Amino acid sequence: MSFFELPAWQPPSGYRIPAWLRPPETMVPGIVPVELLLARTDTDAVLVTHLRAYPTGLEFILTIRPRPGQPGPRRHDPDQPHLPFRHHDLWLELRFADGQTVSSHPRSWPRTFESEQPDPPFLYYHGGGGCDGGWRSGHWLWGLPPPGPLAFVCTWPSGGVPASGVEVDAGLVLEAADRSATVWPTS
Amino acid sequence: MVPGVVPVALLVARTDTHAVLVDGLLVYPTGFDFDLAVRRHPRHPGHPWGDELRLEIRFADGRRADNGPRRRSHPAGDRPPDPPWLYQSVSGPDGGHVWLLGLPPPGPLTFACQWPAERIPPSQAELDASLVLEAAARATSLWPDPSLS
Repeated sequence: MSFFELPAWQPPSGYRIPAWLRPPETMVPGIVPVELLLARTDTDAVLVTHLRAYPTGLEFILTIRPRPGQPGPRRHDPDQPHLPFRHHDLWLELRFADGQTVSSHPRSWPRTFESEQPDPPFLYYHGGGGCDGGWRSGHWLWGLPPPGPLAFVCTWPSGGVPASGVEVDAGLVLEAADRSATVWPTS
Repeated sequence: MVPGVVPVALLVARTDTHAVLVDGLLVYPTGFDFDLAVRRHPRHPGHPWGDELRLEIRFADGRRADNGPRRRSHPAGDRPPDPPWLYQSVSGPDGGHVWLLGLPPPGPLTFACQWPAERIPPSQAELDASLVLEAAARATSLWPDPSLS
């Protein structure tokens, strides 16, 4: 086949992202009524926003907001020019009232997480993106937290942030999950 | 700023094949942003190209803003647009992300949409604007505003 010859059209494979790696597609989420400020330095703030609860877990966005008015492009770390983004070592850990923890670091994920349903809780990180004006990444917690305190803790050495976080009442998440609703009840 | 959250997800439209949601409403003193999400029934996964979901936001005082093409250009020069002014920063078959400059007056705040290509008729959902105004009051600054010192 030449470079300019198009391959024959193939029907979609039908692959669907497994249920443990994404929120339910046919539900209206329950909104958790909090925004979480995990860390703040002179130059950046780390927040967790857009907390949406479902019966199967919790979706949220981890955001870095740079302080406005800072000089020059800050995306690259001049001390580590081989690393393209300052956010490469930002990781999040969730700590539950029963002592369990989950981390967004892929090294903490089970090897077979893409093909076999892991035991909850499991924190999946969808990847991130942004620019000098801010950066954000989507996260999905498979499994709801037990009642009690739920801690969101981030570490970001490149941003000058040691382990830093906040606690919320997991009841807010559980109540929001109860408010979620099916879009098509009979489907 | 750390925005205030409106703890509501709105189902703006629902047909046998599609649903349109507004959620992730985050409010600042100058306006609010939200996610516009198109959900497809599992038995109808396809979507047409070259057409977009139309969205209009209506304030109780009659002012309105939409995502139609004529609204997408910025006013000339550095002059800010008159609120309400809607900017859809992300747009695609699965929805988008919307910023609305300007806070609504008290009363009903209406989100209306239609998408003829997907056979979504004119549909709407209302939110009490006080939820937005209360969330705006909860927004807090991350750093002191240098222009105020």
